Amino acid sequence: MNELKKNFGNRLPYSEPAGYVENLLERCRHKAVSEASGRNNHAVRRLWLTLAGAAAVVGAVAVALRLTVIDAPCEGAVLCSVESVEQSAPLSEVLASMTDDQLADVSYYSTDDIPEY
Amino acid sequence: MIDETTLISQLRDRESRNEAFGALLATYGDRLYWHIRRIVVSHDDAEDVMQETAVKLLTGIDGYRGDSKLVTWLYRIATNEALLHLRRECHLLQSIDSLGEVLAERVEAEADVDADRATVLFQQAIALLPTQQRLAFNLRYYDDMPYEQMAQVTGKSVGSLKTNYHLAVERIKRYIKENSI
Repeated sequence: MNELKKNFGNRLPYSEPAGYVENLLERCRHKAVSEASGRNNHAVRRLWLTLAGAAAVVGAVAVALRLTVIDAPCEGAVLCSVESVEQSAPLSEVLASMTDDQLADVSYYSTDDIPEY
Repeated sequence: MIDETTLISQLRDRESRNEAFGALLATYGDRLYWHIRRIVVSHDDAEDVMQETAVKLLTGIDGYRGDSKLVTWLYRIATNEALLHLRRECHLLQSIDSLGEVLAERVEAEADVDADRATVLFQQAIALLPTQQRLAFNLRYYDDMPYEQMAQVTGKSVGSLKTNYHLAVERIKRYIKENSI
């Protein structure tokens, strides 16, 4: 190493810009502040993305639940569709269980006998 | 010059942090800058790394346990940031060691117009060294750092640092001999 020190010392072929270290404090402070605000913006973006993801999951679950409820038999439930009301109506079941003769007896009352209101 | 313990407590205190940071840069800024520049060569890269080092220092000061001297801790951060900067220049499966030719060309590009050719050759020889040899050489040759302190900066053992240093000296001498006019 002594030979290298003797021939080259600590010289470098380039120099730092004038006043660089003196102005370094301001540049580092500016960088530190912008890094901190960048991290804050990143955190806010992540929060919004998380909320959006959660909302999407909740929406998907809600749709899945609605489909499940429609298929299930329901009596008097608000969410039931028209088909399910008709399928479970007592009158339909009664008419379906009647024979042709019984149906003919029911229709005995002609329209002429029905008073007009 | 403020003593180390006072400087650390001032850096941790929000109110005195700014002034303490200024004092820190006044004391160590020059050394850190040139240590970084000897690794990355380019001034623009050294400036980026220096600022990253400053941010890491400010955000990490609460985690400084005092296991090593403050200057050793600063050198460790600066070294890691400089190597990380070089790492970003490499392709995915490439080693930092493969940047030797690039760094040697950068020495030529960054050299002052009136730079001594022998000094340029010397720096190119250093730039072409494998990273661990280059680090060991720079810390020992330019910073006169004891091997024990170098071990804390680099995370390598004293034995491997000594080996790397001596290998570096031999390679530099051989390069200069082969490339001298």
